[in-house]
Amino acid sequence: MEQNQNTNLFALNIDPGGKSHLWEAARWAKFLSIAGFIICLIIILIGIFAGSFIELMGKRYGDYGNAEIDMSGFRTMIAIVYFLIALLYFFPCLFLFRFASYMKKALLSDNQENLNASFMNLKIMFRYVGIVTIVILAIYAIIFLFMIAGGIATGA
Amino acid sequence: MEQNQNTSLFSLSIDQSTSSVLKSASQWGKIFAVCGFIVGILCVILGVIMQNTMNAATSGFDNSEFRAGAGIAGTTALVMYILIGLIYFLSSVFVLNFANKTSRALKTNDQNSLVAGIAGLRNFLALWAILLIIALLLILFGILTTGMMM
Repeated sequence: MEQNQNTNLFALNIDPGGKSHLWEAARWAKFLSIAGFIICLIIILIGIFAGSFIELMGKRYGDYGNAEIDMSGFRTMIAIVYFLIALLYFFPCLFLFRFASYMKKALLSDNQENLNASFMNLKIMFRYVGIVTIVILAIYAIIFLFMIAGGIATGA
Repeated sequence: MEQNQNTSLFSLSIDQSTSSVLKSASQWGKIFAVCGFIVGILCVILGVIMQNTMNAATSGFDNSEFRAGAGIAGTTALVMYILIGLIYFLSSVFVLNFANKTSRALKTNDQNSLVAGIAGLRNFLALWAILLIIALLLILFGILTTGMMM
């Protein structure tokens, strides 16, 4: 018991300064996440309507050419790509939203479990965005290497 | 009463599990920041490549006005990419600040470092939120301008 009390006395704690910063961080995080959810929805809508728009263009300008251009496959592909982008963007927004919600609850009710859950979601958000960035950079690096290899092969 | 006194004295503390989660968050924060630095540097390199490509592609044209227009477009692209690179760089500095200071606070039990680390996290989130507000305002301005022109 004595040991526990000493640990609490000299351990780190969330003082008023830290609380104020965390409250502001949670507020900005909530705004970012809600805006992110709306952007996800807009991306999906763009995916649906961009496909329809391209199909419409294909039908209109297909008449001028020799053959009718079938754009239905292309339309589906665009919708899927946009949906995947929205899905990729949705998860960090979700983790950020959870971070903000748990943090606000923790600060309002001085609840340690909510504080832990909040930091856990922050960690997951950093991990997710970090891994996605590394994967995207790796894909770009591979494309770049293929381009160089293609250039060398064509040159030779 | 005893319970209340303890709660008010030590309201929210960095206990064993919080410390473990924060340590892990700061490690991933460092990786996140390094990725941000790389993306920022790549943006600047891409801007320089785009400007050079624009100039090289139009250097053979006789029309000097066309060449000048392409030059302006190339410089605009360079400035835009440098700006994006700077934003990524700044946001990564804030996350690195959070990661390093929190990690130091956990190692040395330094309360000031913990507060500074949390401030870094707040700055990172505030930067992106403010940029998002600016972007949304610019989009709104663009939509309104287009609507008025039509």
